[in-house]
Amino acid sequence: MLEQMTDLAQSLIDALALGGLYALIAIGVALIYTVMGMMNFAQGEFVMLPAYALYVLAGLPFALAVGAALATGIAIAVLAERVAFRPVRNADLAAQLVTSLAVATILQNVVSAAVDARSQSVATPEVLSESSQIGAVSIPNLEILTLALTVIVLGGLGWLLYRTRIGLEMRAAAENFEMARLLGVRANRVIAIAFAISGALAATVGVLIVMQTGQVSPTMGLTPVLVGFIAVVIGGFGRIFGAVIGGLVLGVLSSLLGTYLPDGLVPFRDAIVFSLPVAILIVRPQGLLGAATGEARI
Amino acid sequence: MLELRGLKVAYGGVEVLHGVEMSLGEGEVVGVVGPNGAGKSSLLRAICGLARPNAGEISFEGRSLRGLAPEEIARLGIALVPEGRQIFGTLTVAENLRLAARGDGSETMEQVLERLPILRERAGQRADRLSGGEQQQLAVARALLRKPRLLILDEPSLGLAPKMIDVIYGLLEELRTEGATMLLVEQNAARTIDFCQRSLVLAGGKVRASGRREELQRNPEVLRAYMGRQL
Amino acid sequence: MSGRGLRSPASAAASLVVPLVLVALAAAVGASGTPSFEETVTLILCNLIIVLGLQIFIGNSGVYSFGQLGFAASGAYVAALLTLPATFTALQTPELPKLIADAQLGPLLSTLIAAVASGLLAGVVGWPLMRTSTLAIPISTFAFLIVAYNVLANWDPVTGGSSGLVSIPRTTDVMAAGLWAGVAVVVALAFKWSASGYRLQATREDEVAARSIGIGLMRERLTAFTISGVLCGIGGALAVHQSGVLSPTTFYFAASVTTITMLVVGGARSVLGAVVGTVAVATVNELLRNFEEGSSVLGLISIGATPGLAAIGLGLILLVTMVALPEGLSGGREAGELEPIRRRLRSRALSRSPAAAATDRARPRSARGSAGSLRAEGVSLAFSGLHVLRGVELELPPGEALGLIGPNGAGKTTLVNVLSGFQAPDSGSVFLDGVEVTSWSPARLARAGLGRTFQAALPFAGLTVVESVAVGAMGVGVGQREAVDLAVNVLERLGLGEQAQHPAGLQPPGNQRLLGIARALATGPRYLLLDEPAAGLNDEECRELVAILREVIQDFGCGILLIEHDMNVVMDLCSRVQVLDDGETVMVGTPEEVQAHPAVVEAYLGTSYATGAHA
Repeated sequence: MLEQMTDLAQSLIDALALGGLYALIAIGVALIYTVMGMMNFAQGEFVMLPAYALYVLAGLPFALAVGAALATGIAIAVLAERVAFRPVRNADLAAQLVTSLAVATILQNVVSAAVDARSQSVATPEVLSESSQIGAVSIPNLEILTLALTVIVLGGLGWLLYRTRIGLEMRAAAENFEMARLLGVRANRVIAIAFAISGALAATVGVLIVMQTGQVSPTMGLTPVLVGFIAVVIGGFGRIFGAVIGGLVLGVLSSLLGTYLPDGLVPFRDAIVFSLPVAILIVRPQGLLGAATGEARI
Repeated sequence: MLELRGLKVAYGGVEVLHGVEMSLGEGEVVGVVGPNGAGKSSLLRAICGLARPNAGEISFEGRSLRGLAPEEIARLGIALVPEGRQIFGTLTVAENLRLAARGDGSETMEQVLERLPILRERAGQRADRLSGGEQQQLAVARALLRKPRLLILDEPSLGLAPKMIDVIYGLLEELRTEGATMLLVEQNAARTIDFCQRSLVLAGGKVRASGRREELQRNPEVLRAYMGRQL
Repeated sequence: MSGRGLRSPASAAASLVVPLVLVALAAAVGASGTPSFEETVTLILCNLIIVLGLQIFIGNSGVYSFGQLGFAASGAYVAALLTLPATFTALQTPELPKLIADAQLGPLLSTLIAAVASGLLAGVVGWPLMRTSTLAIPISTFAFLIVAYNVLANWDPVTGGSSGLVSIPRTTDVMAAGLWAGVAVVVALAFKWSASGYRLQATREDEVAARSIGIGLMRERLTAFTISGVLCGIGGALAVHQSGVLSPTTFYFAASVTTITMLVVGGARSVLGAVVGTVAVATVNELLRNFEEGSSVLGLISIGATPGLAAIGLGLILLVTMVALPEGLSGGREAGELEPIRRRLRSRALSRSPAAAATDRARPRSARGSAGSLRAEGVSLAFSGLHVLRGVELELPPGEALGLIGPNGAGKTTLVNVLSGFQAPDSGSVFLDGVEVTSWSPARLARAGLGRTFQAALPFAGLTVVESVAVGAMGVGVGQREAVDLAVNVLERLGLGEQAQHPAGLQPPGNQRLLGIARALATGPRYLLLDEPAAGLNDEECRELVAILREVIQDFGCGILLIEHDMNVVMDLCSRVQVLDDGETVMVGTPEEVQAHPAVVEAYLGTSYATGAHA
């Protein structure tokens, strides 16, 4: 009995950790959507490039490499916005989506050409592959880190959005961009900062994925961006909090399926996880929390 | 201070202003009245940078406003109280005000809250919980916090009860005696023409009549602009 | 020239030259090209078929699907498994059902079965996906692509897993590919020019206006999605029989990006665009691939080996196209619509077919003089705490013109939105000829005889004038030929006959408003709701509008509800006027009564004018 409880507890913690990771991804996608109205296909590359920074800087002390990875994420996000997305800022949704697809392809293939198309191994600090004993449960350190980061990020984002000037500007812009501009809020600045934060979040996710899998590959961003999109959609378009819920649900579901699916179906776990949101959308087209129309989007 | 020459503006592909001329000096309070569809909102949107004119000139204190972004025009000292108020419903009253305040805001914030004490009362509430009149006061307060050189109001009495309209116009009267420069756009012609020293009557995208208060009050063009030919 | 089709035979013929050229080129290459060149061209043609599949859905609906290559994959796998000899399937896919494993069909039959299978899959997948919102479709189709990949890569015993299948008979030659490509072009054009295609294009041009003329979004999208799946399946089947190998990554992300790039660069809205784009991008791709191995330019500068250069190049081309040339190389036009041809055809006005001329005054569905009315009872609606409508009643019988006036913010447009199904009231009911229709969708109401226009003209900018009116009739189920006759009839009445073949988006504002009215008339309404039709019109145009509307009432027998601020129009046309202020009805009366009534004057101008203190 105790063993079953322990197993269950461990499964739940595993699930929460993955849920936290997916929530982090989802926030990055949702932030850009609420402020700019754009679903960013290149978000996966904002995850991938910082991960490659870790690979390239493998010789350096790990903390330094992580710092570089964060900087990479922020830089690439802000650069992409300035160069590729600003010209299509007023174009329709489809145009913006395809533009971000173009950016994603370019970045993927640049890395492929510069490094290699195949995945590469990255050495990560030993401590992260170990586990800590908490009571009767043994939790991988990485999961503790992920959970801690999720909480910190959510807290930090809440602080930023609700206690700082720039957060105030972003919330106002998310509700009514035009009116915010009439009050002197600089459109370019707000959008650039949204992208910068999004890039930092994506970099965090990239680093966490590397620490878990020990690998990088040019196409590693595909699953995260799909997760982010689906989380935003099932959480209800335009709500950051909804994206968090969406990410948690997807992560928890994915993890639990991985643990409890019968052996024969395990390879199809991803297929099942990504099919279920569609079911949600059919029953409730506006998402779990409902789309944000005139209601709080953040 | 503000000068419009030959202004042509389109809205949704249709040209709604066919060459408007107007000027506004410092300390003046000018009204723009006319039926809906006359182009009043497009006029204001063009001044504030939300609509690009097809032709014509807009200059503010000597600077041309054409091609400037809305936030740049706002920083030049033009503040708009838009039609329908457009307060940020999901932010609190205090946050709405904080957003508008410019840097050295604390002194002005006190002054504004003195004029409109109801906002101090409701500071912590979400702005979409306020009544129409209170929201209008919030919108005006926001504009005042920008310490504007030119205050533009787009249909401030829209959807308000008569008592509330009195409150708003009372505030505007205060501002007028303090020498504020204001451009007031309203559909309710009588009150506006009474209030402003000078007004323009805009109908069908053109200025049909303009002049000082006394002149317009005798002008049958005003009635005609609204009610059409008498049968 | 008869008005039976929406384009002149010459223009249609010009567009159909394209497939003939394709087939001819294929034949030429087959006869004289080197084997490797022939292979390259064959693959390009297979790609073209897939891109045409994409064009059918994406081009006509304006919605991006990132999952169409999942259908190419399904077509490829089905065709491959059907043509692999039993010995090979025993080795590679041991758990494949015996019926399929033993089958060894010829290329044509396997391709046809693959087409049907892909079509079925597209129908099944599309049914739930097309019910999601416009923004959710790209995401959910992307999810489908990944799910498909996942299933194909992991279901080893049936699909060969991630290592895929080999030794597939290489039966596709350039001639076969060319013929199928020609067929695909014809299918794409036929769909685009069909009633279903037009209805879908209307949703792309303006979703709101499309709903108001009876078009069901989901149904039209699903139709195109399914046909698209069929074509993609064919492309996949042919491609796999050219290369002889197949794996889950063949039709996955990279191929999706490449085919979408081909479509966008060529111009998604036209079939010609799909062809031009495929050829252009494939050429550039080949050129860049040559550079990938490293080469020197002019023997002077040497470039090292850069794998992935082609993909980067394509990504840059896609990016530049989105920013600088969003309509693509073809500008969204078909071969028969290119400028030189268009200029020559423009002068010929579209005339009606003789049969229609005989029944000149015929109109499809308005029944003159029958009982019934459009009625609103006790309609109330509050919005963000503001009461927009308070217990409003309204009655519009057929054959009458009712004016709806009131100051800004009075609730007039909201009332029309409630009557036409675009907004649901908090309380109250709407009755159409005695039937309660309060909860009906705009499309359903349109099909029941209620038409409307909008404050903004909402034109179908990408269609010609006659097309955008004819689609109004097609929206309520009229067949294409009858729809065209109807459209021409309506256009001539409104004085727009000369503009028939011109693009609707380039019409001057006054014409665009008339077009909106024409489009609504084409649905054969019993009740027509017009929202500020005279906005932006000068005095002369206003008089013409009144004359036209009077004629419309007389000939079509419909009832017209007119929101207007131009008092002259209202006074001239309407027999009754209803005044709304602050969500309530102030009065209903004849124009003279209303004009003189102090309450009305007060609502607009304020108290002092009403009491006659001035003027």
